[in-house]
Amino acid sequence: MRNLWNFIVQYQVILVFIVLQGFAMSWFVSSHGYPRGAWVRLALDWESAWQGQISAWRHRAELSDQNIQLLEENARLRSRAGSPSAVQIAKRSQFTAAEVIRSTWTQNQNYFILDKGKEQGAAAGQGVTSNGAAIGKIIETTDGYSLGIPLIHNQIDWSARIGETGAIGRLKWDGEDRTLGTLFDIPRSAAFSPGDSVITTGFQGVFPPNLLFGIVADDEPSFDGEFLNVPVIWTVDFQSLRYVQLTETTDASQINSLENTANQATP
Amino acid sequence: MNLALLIPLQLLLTCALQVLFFQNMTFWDGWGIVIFHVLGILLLPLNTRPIVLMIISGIIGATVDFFAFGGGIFTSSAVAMALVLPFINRLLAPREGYEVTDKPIIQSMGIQWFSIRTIAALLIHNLWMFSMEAGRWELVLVGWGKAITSSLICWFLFAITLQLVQSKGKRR
Repeated sequence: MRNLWNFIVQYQVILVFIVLQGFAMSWFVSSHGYPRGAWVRLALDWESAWQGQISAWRHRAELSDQNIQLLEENARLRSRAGSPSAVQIAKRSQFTAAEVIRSTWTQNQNYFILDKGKEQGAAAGQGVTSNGAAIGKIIETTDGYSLGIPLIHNQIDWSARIGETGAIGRLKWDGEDRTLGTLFDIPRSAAFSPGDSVITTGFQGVFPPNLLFGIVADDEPSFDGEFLNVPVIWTVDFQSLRYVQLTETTDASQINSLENTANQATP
Repeated sequence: MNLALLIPLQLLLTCALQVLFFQNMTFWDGWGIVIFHVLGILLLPLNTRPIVLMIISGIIGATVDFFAFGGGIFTSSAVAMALVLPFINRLLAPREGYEVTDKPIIQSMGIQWFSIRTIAALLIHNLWMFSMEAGRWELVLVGWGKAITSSLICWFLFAITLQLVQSKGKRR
């Protein structure tokens, strides 16, 4: 404060000059045609440039909002209609849009956190998809967030099938290459070729059936006794995951109750 | 006359003459413009503090602007001149400095001191004023030409006025 006062005292003449000139110039500009025109043009240029910049920023922010809206709409549409397989999926599932706010992809046991929690309907056990491809499942939720594990987690098995009518096996990641998984327990007699879809079976109650995990890779399958271990290329790039959908199997409770009955009936 | 009364009277009189009389006078197609209120500012005591000089100049300029529809142009020019005037005074100061009794008039400081100071101050005032008036580069050179001729005319008018007023005062 004292320094400010010293500054004012030291430069009082210049400061008064600036103030008086400011007053005179504003009077001059407001009352003379040419400078007013020039000033208006200059001000208009600056204003337009600034507004343009603001508009660009706003547009970017809106794009993000629109993207979320589109994803939500996409999720709703997936829940309602589509191709015959989608209809099948839709019958038993509901999709909720979510955003990945944190994720890892360099560890053996990776995870991701979504911005939807219990309050938005997220629950442990729900599957997570991205553009119709299965990518993981929710294991823990709080009120506003949920924790999920992706396919690239070396402790989890996923039930998968090659094609819509093909052999069923266990899909697992070995913790090495994050673009590749392995489908275990495929019978040697199973007919498939590289590029065939590897899809969800729906048996685990996590995903509805017929969601894509990936495709059969070109590499030769390895033999494991009577079975084959088939390399699978993931559909999704886990490093660039951002917008995803939570899938809720609407009739999971009915299926679970039947499953429990079966377990109790088994001697 | 008492100095405290003389200074406001000088300012008021030069201001009034500019507004009522000289603002309507333009010689040689705009090449000779009289700005008489500057005389009032130039006649302020030599020991006037720069900040006071600037504020008084601003007020005088604004008054002329207000009555002559100058739109801030006289205010701006007078303030610009008031910023430089103390430097001109210092440059022209005698070796031993100004006496307390020194006044910025011909009789006190001589015609040479008065002329250099007046022309320098008028040039700053008029160059500033005509540059603002021109408003664009293609007219600035003409504006500066008018500033120089108008400064010379004003200097001549100021010198005559002071000589007339002072000689009358002497006779009394």
